[in-house]
Amino acid sequence: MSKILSVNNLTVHFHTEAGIVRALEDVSFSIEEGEVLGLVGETGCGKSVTALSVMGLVPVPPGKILGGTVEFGGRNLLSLDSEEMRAMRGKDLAMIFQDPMSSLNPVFTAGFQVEEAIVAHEPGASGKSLLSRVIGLFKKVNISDPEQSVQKYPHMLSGGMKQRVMIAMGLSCGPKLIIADEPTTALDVSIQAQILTLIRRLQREGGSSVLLISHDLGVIAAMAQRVAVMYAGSIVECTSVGELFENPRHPYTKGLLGAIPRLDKDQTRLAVIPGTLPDLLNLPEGCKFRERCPEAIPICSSVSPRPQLIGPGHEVACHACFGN
Amino acid sequence: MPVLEIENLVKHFSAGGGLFAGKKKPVRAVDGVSLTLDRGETLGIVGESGSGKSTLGLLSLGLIRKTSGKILFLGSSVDELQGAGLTLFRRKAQIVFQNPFASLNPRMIIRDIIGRVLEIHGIVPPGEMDGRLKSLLGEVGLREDHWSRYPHEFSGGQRQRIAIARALASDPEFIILDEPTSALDVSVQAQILNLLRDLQEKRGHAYMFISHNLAVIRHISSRVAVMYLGRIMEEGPRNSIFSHPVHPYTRALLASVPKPFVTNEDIEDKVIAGDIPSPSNPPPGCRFSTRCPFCIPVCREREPERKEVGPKHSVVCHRAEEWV
Repeated sequence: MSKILSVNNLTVHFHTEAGIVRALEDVSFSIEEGEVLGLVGETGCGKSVTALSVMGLVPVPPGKILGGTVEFGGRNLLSLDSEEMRAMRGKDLAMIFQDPMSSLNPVFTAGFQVEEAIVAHEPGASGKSLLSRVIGLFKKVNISDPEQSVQKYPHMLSGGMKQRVMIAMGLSCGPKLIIADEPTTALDVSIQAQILTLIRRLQREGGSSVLLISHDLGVIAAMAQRVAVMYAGSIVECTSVGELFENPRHPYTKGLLGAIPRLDKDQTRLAVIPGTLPDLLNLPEGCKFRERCPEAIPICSSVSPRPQLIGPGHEVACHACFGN
Repeated sequence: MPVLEIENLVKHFSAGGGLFAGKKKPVRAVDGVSLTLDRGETLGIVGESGSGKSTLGLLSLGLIRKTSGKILFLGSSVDELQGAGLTLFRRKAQIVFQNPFASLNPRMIIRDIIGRVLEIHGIVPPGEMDGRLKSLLGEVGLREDHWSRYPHEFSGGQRQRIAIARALASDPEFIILDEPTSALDVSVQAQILNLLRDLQEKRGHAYMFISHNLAVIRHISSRVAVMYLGRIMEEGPRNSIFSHPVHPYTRALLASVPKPFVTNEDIEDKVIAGDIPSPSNPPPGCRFSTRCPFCIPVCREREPERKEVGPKHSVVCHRAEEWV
């Protein structure tokens, strides 16, 4: 297998009135061809900024990419100009956003919006063949009554159906990488199960790679092959999904897993990670998790840990795990 | 005597026709719900969007007018309460809302937000006000000096603690918790769930805990009611509902939650097909018949009766006996 996307040492800051928000610090990860990589973390940990950086959608200013590379198909996406990036977006790289209610334009029909996405990359497409292609896409994402649905406006569709339209749009040009940013967070659990099933079926059939962003470890466990856990702008642990749930090593990952209420067993109390997230404007020296960490050792307060391999395919950024 | 008894409660919202739409069918948000809430217990109300669970919460407090049915607080009808009786009900029935960013007045400091409750109900003499406020803040895990701050100076989790302190201030018999942790990250959610449990152990009030999150409901509740389109489909002790769910909807709902560990089960086999019907146009017969894999002709014609399938465990399904 070869790498389809490789993000290396990506650092992104936002310059705000209150100061510099260090949104991403030295983030590195890669996705293999046909792989689903889960990116998990809490609010403000940098999941969405990571996605936006790959898509070239970080607003500059206030955003500023200070360093690193995003390699995709042999090119560094960060060095492309806006026209070149535009040609990639929607064609090679597609993104599915969290809120299908606000990602569709309310004044155009669902079908028109998908047609528009195709025409942007294939100016020749038009007429009946274009329409039948859109109907075909609607069928593929299980939209009921596709011939009628292409003519419907977004408000006539349910949340689940709107997200299917977004997925149809994302798939329209056969992307190599799909970035799904919390694709089911706005949906009910029975509809979430439908959409997750759909994304997985399409990913298997089409062989595209997926970067799946979620705060829900259940969604990650059901979908991903590998998982990267983010905390305050850095990846703290990255490993296979089995290893992450069976043998989590970073104290933050362990804390997160202990804090989830479970359907399959009784817990009288939930494990709690003490304290709150650090302020990204004013991050502590050394390890960003140390103030909340039950396993902190002296070195944690001065040296920021870098990810190291501690087992086959298992990377952790934690001094206590390195054994020194 | 139960704290709260609800009998055949109905709430229809008339959907205003507007200029173009003409007369619309009413939204049948709560459509014949009967429940009791006992002293010191936690009743979990779980359902998807549009199931009427929040409306049920608001009705229970008399915050919106019911269409028909009965609500009894400690045996007396809430409609007939007046003067001192009504004030006492307001004092003994409290609520914590989902979004702590909207439920606290941004122009008031914490001392006034909580102090106002003590003042209105004349709970403590003015001289003891400060002492009581400080002890309330301590009870919910905030510092005494927090009281001179405004809501915007707090994180989401801290704000929810303030909302809880406000609800506790009047020493309630029961508190409606309407999705109190849905806006919070999982590590913060764990802190709030533990806090709610500790407070109940100490003070002995009852909770009606409304949530769409089945794992949270399982964690916190002693009894559970599953709602779908304005009706209760299944109700029973926590352990019976989660270990031996009977209604096809409950079973499907439990199966479609992605589990936060790696399983051999495929989420694909467990999907409930179709969308949730509109509450203004519920299907005839059983409300779940349009999505139920076990639907037989009678389900589309006649509404099922409530049947006992175990101790205090009731199900509304024509085929209930077959699933036990």
